[in-house]
Amino acid sequence: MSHLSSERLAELADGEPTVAEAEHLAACAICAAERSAHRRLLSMALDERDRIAPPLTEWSTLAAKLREQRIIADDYVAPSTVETGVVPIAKPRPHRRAWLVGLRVAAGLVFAVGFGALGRMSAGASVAPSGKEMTTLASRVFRGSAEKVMPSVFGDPTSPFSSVEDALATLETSQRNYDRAVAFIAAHDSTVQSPDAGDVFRTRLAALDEMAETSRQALSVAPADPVLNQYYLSTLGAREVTLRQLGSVLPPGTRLTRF
Amino acid sequence: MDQVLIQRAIEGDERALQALWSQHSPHIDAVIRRLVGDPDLAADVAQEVWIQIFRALPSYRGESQFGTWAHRIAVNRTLNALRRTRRIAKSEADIEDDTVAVEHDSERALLAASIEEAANRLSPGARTVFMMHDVEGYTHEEIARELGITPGGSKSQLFKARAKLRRLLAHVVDGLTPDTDPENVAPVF
Repeated sequence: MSHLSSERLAELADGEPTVAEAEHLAACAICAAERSAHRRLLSMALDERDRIAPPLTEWSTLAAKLREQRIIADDYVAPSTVETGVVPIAKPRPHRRAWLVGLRVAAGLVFAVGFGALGRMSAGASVAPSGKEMTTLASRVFRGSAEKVMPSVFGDPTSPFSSVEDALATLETSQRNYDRAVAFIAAHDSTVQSPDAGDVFRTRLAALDEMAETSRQALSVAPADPVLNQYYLSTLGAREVTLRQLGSVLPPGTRLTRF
Repeated sequence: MDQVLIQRAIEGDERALQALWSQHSPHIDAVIRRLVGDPDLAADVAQEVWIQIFRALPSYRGESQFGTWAHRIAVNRTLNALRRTRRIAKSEADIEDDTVAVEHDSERALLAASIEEAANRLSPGARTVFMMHDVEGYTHEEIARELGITPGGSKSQLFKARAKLRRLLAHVVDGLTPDTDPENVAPVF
């Protein structure tokens, strides 16, 4: 039997040979090697499926189109966590509430650590926070979260907010400013010039993914919680920016899958 | 988590829409990029795809993961966009046929560094079939339905595509250096 054609060998990457072909493949080292090469190619193609890439468009561009088509509702009102005029039949279980506070603290902690790392990288310092820094951050976040969830804060005469709606509107504005600030920092990040920028961005991306996961878990318990929504959306925004940065420093042809 | 975001997105909450986009665009946009090839066209198609995904949100029943559901829409809309573009390109090519010489096969010029780069040197039909079958996991029957061809035609395109890619990526597949002559490392029978 003569050698198998290149197209037939390509077919046999994931196909079964006839009896005659099988005999030939067992005896012919060239055809057997070619079939193996096609199997490796097929495996490479399968790996492509996990590939991720920076978004092809900017959110602001897409949002403008979505607004034109009324898919984004400009009059959308976010659900509030504080229901007025509704008396709950049963009080929330204390341990569940405590767990939620814990999740908020955890989300806040990873948030602070992650963005602290971002600042350190921009300043040319080490990415990993020291043990002492972690302790300080944890105590700050813990104190901050505890203050946020205590109902007494709403009655504080020194608070600049007159209502929950007022505070939520401020939070919304802050979120937008925060996103712009992160994008600006990313655009002026000196890390991009560094030879190991790819590693730095991968580390940042991994940290942001952990942060997003923690926020996601918390949100599954309290989906309308404005604080948790802030953390989650800010993390996703920073993730997108980092993904773009990583995409810009990778050599042409380099695949971006897991980091 | 996606369910909560999706409900808010259906109601028109920009934050929820942005969160869904931000979470899934690295995968969805990669699919679009693979199928389209040309980055500028891919960016245009991506906008169209995301608008369609968001418009179709109320029909999402949660029977599969949101990412899987969105992936199907992305492939479908991208193929529609490609068909439209190719129709226009074909009519333009028909007009310019006598005056423009087109180099159809740059295979001999250079080896490719990646599957994506190599696939860009396939004919549009072979490229689409290869990406849909070997990368996206569609069956020949599904491809035939999507592209309006026969399953046999899909198979034929796929095996030609694989054979050509094997030659273009010889240095990667065989672990040899890129400047090695492909004719010497990948026998063409």
